[in-house]
Amino acid sequence: MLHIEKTIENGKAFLAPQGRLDTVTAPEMEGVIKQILPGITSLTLDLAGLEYISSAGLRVLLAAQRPCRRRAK
Amino acid sequence: MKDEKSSFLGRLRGRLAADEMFHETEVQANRLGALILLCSGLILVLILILTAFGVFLLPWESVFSPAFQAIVEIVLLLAVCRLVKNDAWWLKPLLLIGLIIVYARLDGMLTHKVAILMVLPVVFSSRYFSRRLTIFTSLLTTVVFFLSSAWGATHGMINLNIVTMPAGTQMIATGGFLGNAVKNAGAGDRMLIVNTLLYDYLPKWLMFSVTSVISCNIARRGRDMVVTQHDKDVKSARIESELNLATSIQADMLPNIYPAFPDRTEFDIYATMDPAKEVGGDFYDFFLIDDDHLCMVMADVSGKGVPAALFMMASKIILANNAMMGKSPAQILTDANTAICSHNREEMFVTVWLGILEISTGKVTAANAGHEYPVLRRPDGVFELFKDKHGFVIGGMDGLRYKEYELMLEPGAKLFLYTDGVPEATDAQGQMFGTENMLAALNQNVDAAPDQLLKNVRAAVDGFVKEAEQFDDLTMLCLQYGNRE
Repeated sequence: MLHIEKTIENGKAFLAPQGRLDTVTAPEMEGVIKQILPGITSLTLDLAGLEYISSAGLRVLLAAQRPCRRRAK
Repeated sequence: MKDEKSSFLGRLRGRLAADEMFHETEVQANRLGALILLCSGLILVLILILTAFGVFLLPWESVFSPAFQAIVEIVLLLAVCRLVKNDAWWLKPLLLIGLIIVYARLDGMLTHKVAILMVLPVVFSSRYFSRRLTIFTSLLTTVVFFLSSAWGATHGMINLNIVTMPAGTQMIATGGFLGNAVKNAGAGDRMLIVNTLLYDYLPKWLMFSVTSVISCNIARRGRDMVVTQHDKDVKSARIESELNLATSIQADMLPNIYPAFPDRTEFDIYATMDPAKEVGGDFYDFFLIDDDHLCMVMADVSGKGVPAALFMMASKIILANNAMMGKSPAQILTDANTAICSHNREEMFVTVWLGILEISTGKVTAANAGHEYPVLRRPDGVFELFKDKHGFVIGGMDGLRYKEYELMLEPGAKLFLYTDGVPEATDAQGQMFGTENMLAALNQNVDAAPDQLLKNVRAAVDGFVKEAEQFDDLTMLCLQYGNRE
């Protein structure tokens, strides 16, 4: 199961997912990131609270960094 | 009969025999019909017994004969069902007609008393999921019960109010049932019959017609369900056979002919891939770039099944093409990454270890993109993890540059590559096999040939996992450098 700690201050977002990031919970993480992405200028992920991450979870993180890199250019 | 198809029986069979997909439905419905007949027969026997003991007030003489005939018919029908084990194309019409006749006998015997019997055959017919059959049963029931009601007007049990008498009429019962007195009261057979049909049969028929509509609806819905299920089954079977074909295609893509290079005695190489599902995302590859350079690849695509398999085919070909151009491992991975990232909307990625062996010197130049540590056994040593530097996975981020390193193989050295399916093989309690167990299995017999080493590791994994289902693809490769015996 997944619980996401979310803090947004002055357009800077800090996300700290806790628990498991796998095929079942990845869509939830993806939804949160999609939702906050338009309004922020920086995104920090603290993954220390994850006990397990699968390739589905890694794909969500990779998908998140793509629009960030594009905006950074 | 010259030609079965053109004979009457043949044509009848053609019309009645169900499509293959309804055959099971028909047999099940026949079985239900036999059950209905059995229950009806038992109830009839019970009625006869209760009448004989005076519990039911029915005139024995008019009850016994039709009831007995009905029981005989039931027994014969049941015997026929048993004989063909409920499976014959002519059983369906036989059962329906038989059921209508049995119930019509009872209607003729108990006329006024039995409204429900009329609907039973048509409700039962809906079990065959054929609207045409239900309509046929409705028409037959209508006609037959019309006749049995007319018969029952003078021979069965009638409503005492079936004829109107002038006010003040007195009737004297000469013994027996009041119904007989009414019948003999001089109204005449014609009036009895007409009134029974009008005031008994007609209301019953109206209610029956509603049941008929309901049964037709059930038949049609049932038919639709059977057809839908059949289509689904056909689709499933097609997909399964396509997957089997895909499994063969994928297996053929990986080099699997051994000995791989019979005329090259400087080294020996062996590799296997066991997918968890029909198709998988792990792959290995080895090929000669030129006379003095052997390229080896061990890779693992994210995920499993068909998507991973498709990505695997593309990645394998891109890596091989880049390697055949004579590039260095770092350049191969860099260029492959760029190519793969440009067509990767689904964000798939693949971990890769790629090494090029210079056969004359034993020098291996390699690069690692997020893959497991290779295992190295130096001559007269044991198998140990070789902790190389990892780049990022291929397909994850565009524009990355990969780095390579060198390691020397002396004659007698062995290199073992694998995917995470080996150390992460899980048993029923959720425990993982682990790299320690993997090294132990290899070190069981350090001098074994590559194919035997792989068998030893496989046996160790199987012994650990036992009955638990294989969760991930199991892929391994072993290279032995130095003269083959």
